[in-house]
Amino acid sequence: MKNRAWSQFCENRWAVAGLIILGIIHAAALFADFLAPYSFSNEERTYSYAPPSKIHFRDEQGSLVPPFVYGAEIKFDEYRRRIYQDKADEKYPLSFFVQGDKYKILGLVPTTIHLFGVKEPGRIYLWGADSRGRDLFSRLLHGARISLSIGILGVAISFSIGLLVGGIAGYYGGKTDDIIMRICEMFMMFPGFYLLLALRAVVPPNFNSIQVYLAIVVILSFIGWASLARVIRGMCLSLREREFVLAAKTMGLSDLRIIIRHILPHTLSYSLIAVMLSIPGYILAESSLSLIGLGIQDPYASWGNLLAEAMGIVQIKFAPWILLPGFFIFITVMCFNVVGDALRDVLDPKTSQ
Amino acid sequence: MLVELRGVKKHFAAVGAQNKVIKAVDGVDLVIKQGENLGLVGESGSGKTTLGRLILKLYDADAGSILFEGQDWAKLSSRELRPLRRKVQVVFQDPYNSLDPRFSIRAVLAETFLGQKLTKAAQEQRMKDMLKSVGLDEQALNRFPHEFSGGERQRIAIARSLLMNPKLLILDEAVSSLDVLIAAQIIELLKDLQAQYQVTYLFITHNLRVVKKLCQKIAVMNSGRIIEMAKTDDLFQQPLHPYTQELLSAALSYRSPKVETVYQFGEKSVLIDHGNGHFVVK
Ligand SMILES: Nc1ncnc2c1ncn2[C@@H]1O[C@H](COP(=O)(O)OP(=O)(O)O)[C@@H](O)[C@H]1O
Ligand SMILES: [Mg+2]
Repeated sequence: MKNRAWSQFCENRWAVAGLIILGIIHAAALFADFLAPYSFSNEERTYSYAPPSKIHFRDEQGSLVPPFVYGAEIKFDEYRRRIYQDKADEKYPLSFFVQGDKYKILGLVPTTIHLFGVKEPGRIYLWGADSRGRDLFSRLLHGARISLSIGILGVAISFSIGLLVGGIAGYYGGKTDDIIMRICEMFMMFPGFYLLLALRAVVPPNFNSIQVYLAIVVILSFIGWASLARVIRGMCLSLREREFVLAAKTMGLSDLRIIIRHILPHTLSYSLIAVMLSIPGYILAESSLSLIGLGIQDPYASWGNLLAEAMGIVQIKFAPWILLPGFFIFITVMCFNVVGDALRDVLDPKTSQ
Repeated sequence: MLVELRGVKKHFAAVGAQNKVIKAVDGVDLVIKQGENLGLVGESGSGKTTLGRLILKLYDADAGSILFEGQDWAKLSSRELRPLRRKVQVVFQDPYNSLDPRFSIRAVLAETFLGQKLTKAAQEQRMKDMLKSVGLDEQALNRFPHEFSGGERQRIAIARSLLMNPKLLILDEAVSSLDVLIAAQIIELLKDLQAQYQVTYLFITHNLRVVKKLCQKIAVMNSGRIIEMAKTDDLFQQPLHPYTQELLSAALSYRSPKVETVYQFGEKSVLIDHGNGHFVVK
């Protein structure tokens, strides 16, 4: 039966493409320090808003050579904006597995090897630089770590709460159910973004980055659990009448065991769909907080605070690559939605239109 | 006395209609003695399942009391009740619903050992012995419910129940969805197991014929009341209530009962003894 669902899922090309893209993005986030030529805070201010480096495969004579980039000659125009030009006599070969900034592989093994890079003082900006001459490609990869992990962590926490609370409400029914559901409704009553801002305001301003990161995770989970709890509760109300649940009860098993072992697993396919469809909300919420400066703080990168650089029309005009984080947010959110929808079609044909 | 019911009532709110109640069980007095299997018969909707679930303490009675081995479970806290529950077990009608589809048979049976201090090896041995007792191969342990037929699933459900060492086993239409031959085999199995496991059966069915072999005593139920109760032979030879007579003739001629009668009972109507433990409602 699982196999049939899987092959049905594979028939949906968009969903498969979405799943593959998500896989790539998450893998890239996981190995961000290795894939990125620079650390997230490596800056070179003379390269403010440097455009994407051109990688050359042919020399001046037009013969094929190992890839290289030119050094940059920086001039200023009449508005004192930088104009970057290639220096014909400065070539920096692009090499692989090079020494660079220190980091730890998966936070464990210390190393300095990066997938690719160029020798100092040359710099490579695959997707351009930001105002402080930091490599946008590197920062996007590091930002993916924060943005994606906030989504996953937030969903994991709020789903644990939602499942358990919904399970308890649905299993016991009666007064317990009434009270829990009223509390859920209270949470669902507030428009999410304002609640988010209000809760963020409660977090002390002197928190360091890790504390802010955790605070955002907690806040997002705090907002997100209620809607799931409500649906799970509805499913549990009917599951508790199933005969294997009644049998478990007559066997004297504890209520918690019955809920966790016999009831909640049957909501699994629904939960999986709901997880897929709600992760984008968490990613967007983090991005909006960071965009307006209430989330992850510089020099740490998240897709939201990277996008914050793109709030001025002048910057967008002269350095359009700073819009890239928005593109990644968009792609990721789309992929989660496409995959979630496809899962729903496969696992839960009743509710999909 | 294993179980004693006194004036037990259970009313449900009718779905859709306000202020209307369904009197699923409406004043039942009943005694189940150790080793004396009781057949509870009556057509669908007469309240048999509800009565069974009241004894199982899956429902709380609205009125009256249910004593199990002289103890009223309604007076216990849920913490005190849980360890006692194993004494009354149940096998349901729908074999496709009574085993958690996500559990292997080993996992289904292993849950019966929770709270007991048994080594893994001892558990394994007991599960294998029990499967053999109910006529299944020990290979079944690694398989899942959907790999078994309805009859085999009922055997597994019986195995699970008996592993709990119950005093009373309630079989709620346990063979009603099986075909006649398989049903007869299960009845035979239950008879064989009884001596070995020292268990008493409460056999709930709408089909009088099924209970004849297994039960020493029969209670006939209609509209939430017991309307006749007698030793099996007496009831088959001399049914007193017209409803029982109809049930009986239907059962013997392999058809469904003609009259779908719902009898109205006053508050005062009681069971009258006709001698030899044969009671009929008046
Ligand atoms: N949980 C319930 N809620 C509401 N009505 C119920 C419930 N359980 C049973 N009933 C009603 O009580 C009556 C007796 O049902 P039941 O005990 O299942 O009878 P039987 O098992 O003899 O067919 C029926 O009219 C049924 O609709
Ligand atoms: Mg029934």
